[in-house]
Amino acid sequence: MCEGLRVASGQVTVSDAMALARTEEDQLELTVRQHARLVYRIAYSVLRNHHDAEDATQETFVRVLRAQRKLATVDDPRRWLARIVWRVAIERKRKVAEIGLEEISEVPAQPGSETKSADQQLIEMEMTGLLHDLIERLPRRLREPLILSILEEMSISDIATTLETSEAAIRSRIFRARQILKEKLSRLLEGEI
Amino acid sequence: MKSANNQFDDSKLDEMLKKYGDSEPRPGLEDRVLAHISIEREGSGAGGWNWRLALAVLAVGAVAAVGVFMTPKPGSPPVTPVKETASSKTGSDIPTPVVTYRKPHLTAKQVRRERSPQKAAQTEPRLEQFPSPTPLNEQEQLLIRFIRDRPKDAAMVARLQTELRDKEFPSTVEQLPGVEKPPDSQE
Repeated sequence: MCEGLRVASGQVTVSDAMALARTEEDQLELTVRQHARLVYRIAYSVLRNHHDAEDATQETFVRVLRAQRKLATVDDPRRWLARIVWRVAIERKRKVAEIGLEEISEVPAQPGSETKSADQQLIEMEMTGLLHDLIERLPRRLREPLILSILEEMSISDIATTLETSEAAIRSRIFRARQILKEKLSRLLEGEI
Repeated sequence: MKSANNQFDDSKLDEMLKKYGDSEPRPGLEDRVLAHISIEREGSGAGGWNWRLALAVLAVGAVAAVGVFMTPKPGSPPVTPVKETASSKTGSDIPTPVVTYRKPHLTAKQVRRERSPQKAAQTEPRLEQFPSPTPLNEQEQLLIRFIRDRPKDAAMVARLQTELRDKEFPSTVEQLPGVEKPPDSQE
C-alpha cells in the first residue's frame, strides 16, 4: 500500500526500484534453495525418471519466476510449489502418453547399496519394479494420494491442498490404496512361495 | 494369525514404499535451477526489448506506407464526386452525377515549377505586334512632320528616289537569261 502511494506520487527512485527487484531475486533464490529438493521429489514420484523430474523442476521454477510478484503474497510457498510441480509433472506425463513414447522408469540407486550382495540387490530391484506396476494399475484417485503420501515431507494436509480435496478423503483413499497393494502383494508372494 | 500377517504386511509395505519413493536429485540441483532462471530472466528481458523494437519499426513502416499511398499523383487530380443537386434533376429523369475537380495539393517541387519564368511567360497575354513598338527618334519625327506639311514635295522626292534606285540597281528578274519582262514594264 505504501509502495503504491509512492509510485502514484512519483517518488520512487531508481535505487528503490532496483532494491525491490533485488529483494524479489533474493526471495526467489531463497525459495529455490529451500524447496528445490521437495519439488524434484514430487516430480520424480509422478514421472519416475531423473531427467524428466529435473526438467519438471526447472519448468516449475520458471513458472514461479513469471509469477514472481505472487510469491510475496503466498502464505505457504511450500504448498504453492507442490501444487505447481504436481500440475507440471502430470501435464508432462500426459504428453508423453499422448506422443506414445514408452515410459522409462528408472530404479533409483540406493545409498549404501555397495554393502548388499548382488542377489539382495536384484531382489530389491524386482520388488520395486513389481510395486511400481501395482501402483500404476491403481485407479487414479487412489494412486495420486498414495504417491504423495510416500514422500515423508508431505503431510495429509499438504496432500489435500495439492490435490484440492479434503483431508478425510485423502486418508480414506490412501487407506484403500494400501489395502489393495497389500492384498496383491500377499497373493503374489504366496504364489511364489 | 491374520492380523499378524497384516501387521507384517504393513511394515513390509512401508519399507517397500519407502524404497520406492526414495529418490535424490543429482548434486547441484539448486545451482542448475538458479542458472536456468537467470538465463530465462535475461532472455525474457532481451525478448521484451526486441518486441518493442520490432513494434516501433512496424509502426514507422506503416506510417510511411500510408503516407506514400495517400499522396496524389501529379498527373491525376483526385476526383471528388459531389452529391447530385436538385437542379440537376430538373432537365431529365435520368440523374446526372456532377463531378467536380479539386486542385490537388501541390508539393514543393510542383510549386517551384509553376513559379519558373518560362511558365510565367506562357501565362502572360500575347502581344499584337512583335517586336513591340519603340518610341520614334528625332529624324523619324522630322520626316513625318515634312510629309504631313508638304505631301506633294514628299511624293515627288519618293518618286525620284525610286527611279534613281531602279537605275542603279536593276531588277534581278530582268537580268536572268530566258526570262521575259512583264507586259506592263514593256509599255
